[in-house]
Amino acid sequence: MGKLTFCTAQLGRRGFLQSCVLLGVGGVVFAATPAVARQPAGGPGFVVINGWVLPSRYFRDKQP
Amino acid sequence: MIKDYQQQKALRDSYDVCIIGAGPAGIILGLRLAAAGWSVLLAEGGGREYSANSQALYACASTGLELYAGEARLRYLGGTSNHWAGRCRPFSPSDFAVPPIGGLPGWPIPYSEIAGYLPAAMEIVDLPPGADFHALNAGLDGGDFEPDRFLLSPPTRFAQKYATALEQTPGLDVFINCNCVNLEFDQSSGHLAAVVLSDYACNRQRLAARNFVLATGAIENARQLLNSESLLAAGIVSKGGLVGGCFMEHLNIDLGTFILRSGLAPEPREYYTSDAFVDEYKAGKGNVRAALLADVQTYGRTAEVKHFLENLACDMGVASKIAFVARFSCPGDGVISTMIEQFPNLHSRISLLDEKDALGVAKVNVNWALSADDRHTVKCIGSELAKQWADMNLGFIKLNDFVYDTSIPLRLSPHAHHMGTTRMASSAQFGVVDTNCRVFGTENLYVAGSSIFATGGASNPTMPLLQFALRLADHLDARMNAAREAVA
Repeated sequence: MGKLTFCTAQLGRRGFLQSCVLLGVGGVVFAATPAVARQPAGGPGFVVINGWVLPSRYFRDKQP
Repeated sequence: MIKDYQQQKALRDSYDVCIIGAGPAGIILGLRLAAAGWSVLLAEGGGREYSANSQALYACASTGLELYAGEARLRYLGGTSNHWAGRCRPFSPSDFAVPPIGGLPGWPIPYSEIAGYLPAAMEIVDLPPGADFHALNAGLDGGDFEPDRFLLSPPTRFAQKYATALEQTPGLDVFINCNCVNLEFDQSSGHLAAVVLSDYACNRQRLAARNFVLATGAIENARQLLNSESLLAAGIVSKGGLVGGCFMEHLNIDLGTFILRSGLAPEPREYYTSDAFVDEYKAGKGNVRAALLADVQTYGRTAEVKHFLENLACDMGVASKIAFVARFSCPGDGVISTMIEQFPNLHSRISLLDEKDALGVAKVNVNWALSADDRHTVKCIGSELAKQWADMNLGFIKLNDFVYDTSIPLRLSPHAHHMGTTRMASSAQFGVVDTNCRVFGTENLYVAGSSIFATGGASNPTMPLLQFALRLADHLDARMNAAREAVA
């Protein structure tokens, strides 16, 4: 798998905050916590980021 | 015999049945009743072909969602079947067993009442006898979405298919350019005594019949009833009441785009909400169709997004992932469209205007309006579809914001499926027609077509409305036979 390279610092503070807000919308929609560090009980959770509906497990701080 | 009312007005003094409107329902009803030996007048306001003169009489105002009511319907022999697309999906038992959300009751009859008419309706729309309504694809895991099952009619153009039958069936008089401009109700007897017919020069004449059927589509059926001062005076209809209320459409929502996992078949996928979905989410039914774009882009932003999504599990910081997803914008591999059920609500309605058309009939306003329950259906279908799409590793879906954020105005288009304005119910408290399609409070005024639908499900209405038309033909035949035997 080719590794994607990103530099968070280059994204800028505004973009990062905007992302968090969008993630918050996902939390409202699918009852996931905005932090997405935890997987909701009873099955995989999902988040909505910029409209994309994605499994929240990919957005934990540490990958399994 | 098809005659032009503009040229000759050789009507009989009276008919057993007078049918207003020669679209699919009117044509089938007329042919069935005439074949059973009854004298039938089938009065069509338009001509043999499209004309601006006739179509202009469909002009109406709109204060709600854009419906394209002036163009979606066709006002000539064969009616809107002249541009019907031909998709056929029958109602299911749950359409009749599960009441709609919102407080109004659902169908007052079980599905079995129309199930027996399905083979005949399929034959009418030229579907193979006994054919299964088949699926294009498998359903989704989780039980919320089954494969949609449907068949495509050629599509049947009723005026052409039944041209010979309309000309030659004994007992059937078909008059084109024959416009109904008034319904005359006799309150003392409870009977509709006559309709008033008009040519395009406003030459009018009364026509008596034992029974009358309105078969002019959901907007015009309500319009005819509301336009009748005698029905209004008798309290059969009322402004702001059920006649014209509960106007329903099927919602074509641009749900969003999707990325299809590499290597999967490119054919369109069609899903249909399961009964379990409706029960769990207290939502309506819906069809969703995911179809690849004609020119899928495999380069640039799309390729970058696709690569990222297919490698979401990579070891990368959460903040970076979020930031990346939050910024990417691409057309995706395809788009997702829908045909979603609208629940009946009284705010969505046809109402009469003071302005009259060229023949002196009051024009109408259409206020096509959705409820919060309908937004809930859209949101549930979009979000659950996206989750299960990801769960099955089909790829990922990007929903448009108005799908999951109900504070944002919905972007949608209609399907030209007009329903519900003379809904069927067990009593006049909840509907306009009874279980036999007879207008409450009248002895001999009936309605045919999808305006009688208590709920619309997410099935294309043409074939089901034919099932109801066939059932109505049987009812009228039996009723008139019983009356004849009683006299004998």
